[in-house]
Amino acid sequence: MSKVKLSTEDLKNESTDISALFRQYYRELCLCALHYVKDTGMAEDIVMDCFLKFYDRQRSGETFASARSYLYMMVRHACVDQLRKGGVAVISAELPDIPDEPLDDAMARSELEAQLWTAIDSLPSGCRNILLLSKRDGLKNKEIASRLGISVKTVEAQMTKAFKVLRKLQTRRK
Amino acid sequence: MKDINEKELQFVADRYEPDALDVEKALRRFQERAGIAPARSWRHIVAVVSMVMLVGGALACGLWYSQRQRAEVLTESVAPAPRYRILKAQGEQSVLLQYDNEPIGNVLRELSAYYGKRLSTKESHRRITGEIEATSLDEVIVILETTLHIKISVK
Repeated sequence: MSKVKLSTEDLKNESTDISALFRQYYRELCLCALHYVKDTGMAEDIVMDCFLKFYDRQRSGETFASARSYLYMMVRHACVDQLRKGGVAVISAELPDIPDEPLDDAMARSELEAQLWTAIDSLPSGCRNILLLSKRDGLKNKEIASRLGISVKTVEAQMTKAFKVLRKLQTRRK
Repeated sequence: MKDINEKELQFVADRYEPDALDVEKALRRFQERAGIAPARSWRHIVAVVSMVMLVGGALACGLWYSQRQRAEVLTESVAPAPRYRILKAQGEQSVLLQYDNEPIGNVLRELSAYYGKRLSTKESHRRITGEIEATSLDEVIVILETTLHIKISVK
């Protein structure tokens, strides 16, 4: 990921920059937040607030070596604050995700997850549904076939197609 | 399946919702709250220009077509100038015919109207150019039949 150049003199580009930053990092920041809060709506709200705060700092003249790192730190802190408040959000039990996880690892993982989300989003709805029934709901191909009233071969073909897309849109490997 | 990181895929699959994490929608909300005017991206301009061209093209086609219709209607409603004229008023049978690449079917139609007879031929698509001067219908028929090697029937 390239670093975004921020310059306080160049106010003309400022709004473009923040919008570009938003487009580039919004999704992965949301997925980072989802390691802390369970609800996607809440994750999006947290990320939105962080971007707004970041934009305020930008406008008041702060410059950042890496906007991305800073945004990630903001999001993580905001999530921890949210949890401390004891709000509606609940930590997903299986993830012992704590602020001392190295930032780089968290960023790499969230970036990957964002790519996977985008890939799943790009699938045709039938294909996507089959993938989710398999991965999310744990159904076997045979069970998927009978539930949807299609052949097992079709299910297998759709799964293969889904994985092709996922593989293609995923650029980062662990 | 080796290439896909299973843990991350599981994480995403568990939380995926089709309408969630919509970046453009969120960006618009963000821009509203931050007081930023959305940039007119080149994509926007391309979209607007294509729309204008499409609409303009459709309008132009419609106009052109309706003009054509009107032109066709005009030429049909106004009786074409008769392409034959009476040379001598002697007997009303004399005619001077002048045609330019005219299908013989049209010629016979006009002659039918002039002489009050029904003229027809199988080769009505054959075309004739030139002048024919004749004193009677029979003469016209003979000339046409000879020149064009066709058979004209009179009723």
